[in-house]
Amino acid sequence: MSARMKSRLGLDADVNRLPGDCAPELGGLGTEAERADRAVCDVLRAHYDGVPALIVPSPPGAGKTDLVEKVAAQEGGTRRRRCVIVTQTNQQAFELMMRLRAHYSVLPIALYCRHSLVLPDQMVRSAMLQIVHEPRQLPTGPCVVVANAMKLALSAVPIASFDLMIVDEAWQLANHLFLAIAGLAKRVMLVGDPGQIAPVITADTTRWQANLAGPHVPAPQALLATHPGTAVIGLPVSRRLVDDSAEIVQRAFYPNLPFTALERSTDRRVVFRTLAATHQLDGALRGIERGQTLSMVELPQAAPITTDAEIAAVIARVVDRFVIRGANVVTRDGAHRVDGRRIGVVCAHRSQVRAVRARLTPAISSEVLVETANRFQGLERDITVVWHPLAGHPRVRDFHVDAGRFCVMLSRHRVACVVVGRAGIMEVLDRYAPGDPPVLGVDTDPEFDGWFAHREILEHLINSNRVFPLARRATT
Amino acid sequence: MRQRAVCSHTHAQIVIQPHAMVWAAVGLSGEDSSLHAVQIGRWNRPPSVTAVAADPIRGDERERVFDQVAIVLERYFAWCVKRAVAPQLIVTSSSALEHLTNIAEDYRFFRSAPRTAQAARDLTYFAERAPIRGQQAVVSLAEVLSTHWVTPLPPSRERHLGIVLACIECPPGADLMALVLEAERTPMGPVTDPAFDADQLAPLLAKYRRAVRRRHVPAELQRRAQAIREVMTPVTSKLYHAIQRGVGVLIRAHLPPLPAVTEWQRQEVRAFLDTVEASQQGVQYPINDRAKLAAFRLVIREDAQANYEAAVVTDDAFGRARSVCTGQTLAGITENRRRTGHPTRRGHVHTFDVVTTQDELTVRPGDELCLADDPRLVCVVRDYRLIGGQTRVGLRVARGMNVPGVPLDGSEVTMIRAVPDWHRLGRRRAAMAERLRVLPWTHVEGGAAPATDPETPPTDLIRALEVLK
Repeated sequence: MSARMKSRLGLDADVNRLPGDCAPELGGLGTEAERADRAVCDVLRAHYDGVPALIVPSPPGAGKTDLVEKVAAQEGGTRRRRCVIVTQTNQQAFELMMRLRAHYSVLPIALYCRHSLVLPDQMVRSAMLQIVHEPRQLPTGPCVVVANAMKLALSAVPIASFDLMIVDEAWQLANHLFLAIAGLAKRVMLVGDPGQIAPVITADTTRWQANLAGPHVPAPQALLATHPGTAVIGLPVSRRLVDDSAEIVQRAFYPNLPFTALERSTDRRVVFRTLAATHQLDGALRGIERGQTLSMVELPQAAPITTDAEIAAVIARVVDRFVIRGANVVTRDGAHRVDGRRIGVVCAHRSQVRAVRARLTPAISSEVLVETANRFQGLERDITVVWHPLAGHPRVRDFHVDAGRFCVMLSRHRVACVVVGRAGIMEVLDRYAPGDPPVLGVDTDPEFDGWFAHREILEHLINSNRVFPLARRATT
Repeated sequence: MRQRAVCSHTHAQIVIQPHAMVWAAVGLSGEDSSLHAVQIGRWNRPPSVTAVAADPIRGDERERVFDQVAIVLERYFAWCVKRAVAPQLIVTSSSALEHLTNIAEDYRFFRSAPRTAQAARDLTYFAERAPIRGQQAVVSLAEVLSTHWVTPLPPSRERHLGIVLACIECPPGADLMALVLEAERTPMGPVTDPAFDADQLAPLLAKYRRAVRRRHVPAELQRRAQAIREVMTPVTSKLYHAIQRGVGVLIRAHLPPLPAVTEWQRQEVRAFLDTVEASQQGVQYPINDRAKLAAFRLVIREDAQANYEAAVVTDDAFGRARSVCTGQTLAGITENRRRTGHPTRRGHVHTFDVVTTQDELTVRPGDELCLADDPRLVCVVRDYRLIGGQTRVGLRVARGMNVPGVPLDGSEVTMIRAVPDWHRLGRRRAAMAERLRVLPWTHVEGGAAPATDPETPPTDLIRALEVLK
């Protein structure tokens, strides 16, 4: 594997490290659940040790939000400190608030947001949530304040107002925004998924392309560039992905963040009531029943087009098929029927989202979550159907080949993921000619990393017989 | 193929100033920051300076050219300061702008040649303004024309000014592709044609260098330098005239300026006067930004980008139509106007639906939209449903329910994402300046973290949290 690929996450080989004598116990000792719990305890203990900055890289579904809640509860409740949780969007702030209130009822929690923000009815009705709009309204004693990064950056909250700042989804926080809020707390903890979509910067950043701590790079990456000795504790276990998916996702997208799955594909699987022997789509579903949690339905090659009506129709039919064929998710705790609310469709473009929504059966169209990868970040469904980002593209381009986007697409499922694409993607990848070499001093090359991840995934699918070609007549 | 370019904007995003300067320059192939030949002059006038370095690698020749550039730019800047207007420089394309940026960055700290450094410092002003959307300091003409006109060519070919002009000026019935191929033969970038280099320039340059090496008499050196000037001057003249032609096309289109241009010009004047003042105090643009400066710069660029996009959608009819087609803007008929009691406090919640037939709609629950005709009405998307070929978008009014009021059922409305906010940047910069008086330790290379005393943790960390449930 290339050095470029290894350094993509902004982490060096030593993922788990703490200064001094508070290093966590590492190694493959104990069960997956024990390892996961131990990592959480290490993070909690690090705060008692007074670690000034802690980075927690986390694979998909490793319990980031749960960890954020625990650390916030420890600071605001057990240790009687002032803690601020920084989210990237208002929606994330709302969800975190509701979860904190549900899990820690005695914790003093406040949402700090702008006055004109329209809050969800559920929050408005909850009398136990404190909502503040001005810095002077913030609680004075021990508390947990939730706010989005932009609100904190623009407000007049005094420097060092908090003891701890927890940045949720920190790999989506650009360094210039982190700079504007970093001084608000004495200690910082950055939690996030390093394999996902990078911060969206609309302006030209060429000027800082050689700067590893430039204003556009994700905050944890910049912190590691300026303070290489920063403590890092990786979460080692994905609770969402089962082993079959976790293995390939880890290899393709997280080469420097080793993790395993909490559950095996035999412990969490899909069982269909009935499957037709000759139906082509049912062939793919049969593979899922056999434990192939990641598979691909491949349409015949066609003229390149971004919003391909045929792919949209097949995705809608795959979704429909899960419901019609009576899919049930069987876990150790029992079984439940797969309905529209348990299925998600992930696309690259907004136009693809609408194309799929327009073709879903009316009975389930309001239940199935159809969204772009950007909006799907942080969400999960039992079953996901993915519109392959390279389907309909004659050449590799940075947006479509972006490893972060593909990683989000392939890591939202708890049980199974079906990728829908067209034949010829491997040929497109084979034809790839690297563009300009990376600038001096920068080892990362997002386009190359994306190409590598796409190839790794496709090779895995082909070699393990998980690609189900669909004849043209079956698509109509 | 359609046989000519079509104007795709109702408003101009840039206004050519009467005092704008034309910059037509070429470097030596392989030497990205060399200045081999340059012509500078006001638009609609012949060049006031034509300077050619016989060999741009030689220091004395380079300084002679840069000295002339410095004189022109100094005079122009002084003229602008006196009248409190911002300077404007017109170049052929983005590659010419890149060449100008390379010159600015490579020579502005050149201590051994103060006049060269001065010229580079003046050029730095234009290079620094260029990445800010909506700026009026540098006109990259091929880009400006291909923004305002749609050509039947791929974007990669629209970077050539000659090709863009051929598309716009193509007479009815003419063979456009033949005109494009003809235009393509004349390089419009900052380097010369490789065939010209091999056949004409290289032999002359070799002769000149040989004469210098052999210490020929000044008259002989002059003769050989003159030969180089004679072949290089037509190269820059072609660029100079193409720019004049392009500016003429832009002016003859008689596009009224976007309302935002007034604000952009105001910003330009302020940026220019600030730069001049800083320069007089000895402040120089650094090559590498520290964390604080980089953050401010990126914030400025992002804010400019947001305002630019909003201004085009708000005030340009084509821009808005494009936004409707791409689904960024919601256009439809209002229905189902309702007023219900607020769930928790006094007052009412106003809601209405917009029914649209747009194919590619990108709005989602939680998005904020404002009425294009009166942006005081701000709504939040509650939900959307696809019914047949229509989409029904449910909106809840967040602001403006009294003035301008909720649209009546059956009204045609266009809801846009945002309008330009010219005060946002000021607010953001003020907040950043206040917050960053002391840089946080996290952003100081090797900065020491504040000391915190360790505490003894409870034996069971997880159980300690249970009491909070």
